[in-house]
Amino acid sequence: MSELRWNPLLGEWVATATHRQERTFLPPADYCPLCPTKPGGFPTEVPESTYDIVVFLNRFPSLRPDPAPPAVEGTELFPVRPGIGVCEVVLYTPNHDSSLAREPVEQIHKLVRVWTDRFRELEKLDYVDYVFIFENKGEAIGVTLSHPHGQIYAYPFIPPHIATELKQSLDHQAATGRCLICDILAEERRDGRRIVAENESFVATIPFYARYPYEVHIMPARHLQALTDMSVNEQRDLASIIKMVIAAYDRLFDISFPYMMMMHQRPTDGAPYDHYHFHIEFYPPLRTKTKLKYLAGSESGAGLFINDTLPEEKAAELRAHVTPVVWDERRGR
Amino acid sequence: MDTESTEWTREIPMHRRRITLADGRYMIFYTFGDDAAGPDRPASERREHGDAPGTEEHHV
Repeated sequence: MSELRWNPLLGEWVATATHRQERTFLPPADYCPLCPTKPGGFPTEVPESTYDIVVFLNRFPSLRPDPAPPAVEGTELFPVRPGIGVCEVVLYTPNHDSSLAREPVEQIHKLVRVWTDRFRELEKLDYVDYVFIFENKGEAIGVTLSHPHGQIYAYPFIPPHIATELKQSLDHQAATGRCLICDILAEERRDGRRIVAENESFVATIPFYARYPYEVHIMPARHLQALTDMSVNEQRDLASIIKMVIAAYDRLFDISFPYMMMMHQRPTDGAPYDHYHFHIEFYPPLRTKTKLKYLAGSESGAGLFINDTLPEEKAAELRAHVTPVVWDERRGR
Repeated sequence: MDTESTEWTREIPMHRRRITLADGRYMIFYTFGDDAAGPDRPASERREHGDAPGTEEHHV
């Protein structure tokens, strides 16, 4: 059962998906459902003995293409609608003990192409208004399966954070005639202290307004709205800069660094969004090697994030762990 | 910082093979390479795992 209930106080939908309580929780590595099915081994979710990158519908989705009717009837104040949408799982590699940071940049490049293909496919669905590509990594984030994977949610509406960014971008364009993120990027480059990594097509920065100590935003230098707008070179450069950032995360504390990675692209509802600028946001929950940044009273109850660090100092720390990415052309491009 | 840039004019072809699992969910195998259409399995094995006898293959 999955349904969408309207919160009239915040003006946003809440997904109710009670079946997710039953999902697999941190199984032993020998019984990982996301590994390939080995000959004579137990059948995993993937009925093949190996794979490169696999995408499939989540067994425990928050939204589904054919949802059952809601469990309750809505009212004028409390509207309810079926939880229609798509929840996909993206397996990055058959190697259970790997992570995106440990994968070669060529594999991340393949993943960029798969993400692009999924965006292109899912945006065709008439009930999908927004395609959200993300990864939750690490037990600190609450992941239930440690095999390297990400997710794609295709929502039947534009989610609240994106709606806010769209409004801010539109207001900025109306006031200045310019793109908000192009201006943010120009100001970050002018200052320079918060830039973590850079290549021909992308800039990674801990932004001036970072809410998490090691929050990184990757922004394309060109004014793009979605992954599908990227050139062949930009796809490669995106893979490179993702590798630079998440490998630096791992080197920072010499651990497999937990994070949430989220792609902010234009909506897919058919309206024009030339004022919006695609970017990727990383929210790592750690503020030190052993201490978590909790979303406590002020953050959760009032919406005011309190960052105990200076982005300029954290960017310098992270930048010191960035190393150039070397492509192995034998692995392909 | 990495500022190196090279002009790449050719991508390795990406292939997509879509199967249907026993419970009706789709699964898509992505493979890359001039002749990489994905790991081949006999149709009987695919059916044992519950996917539809026919699978769709696409070069993307």
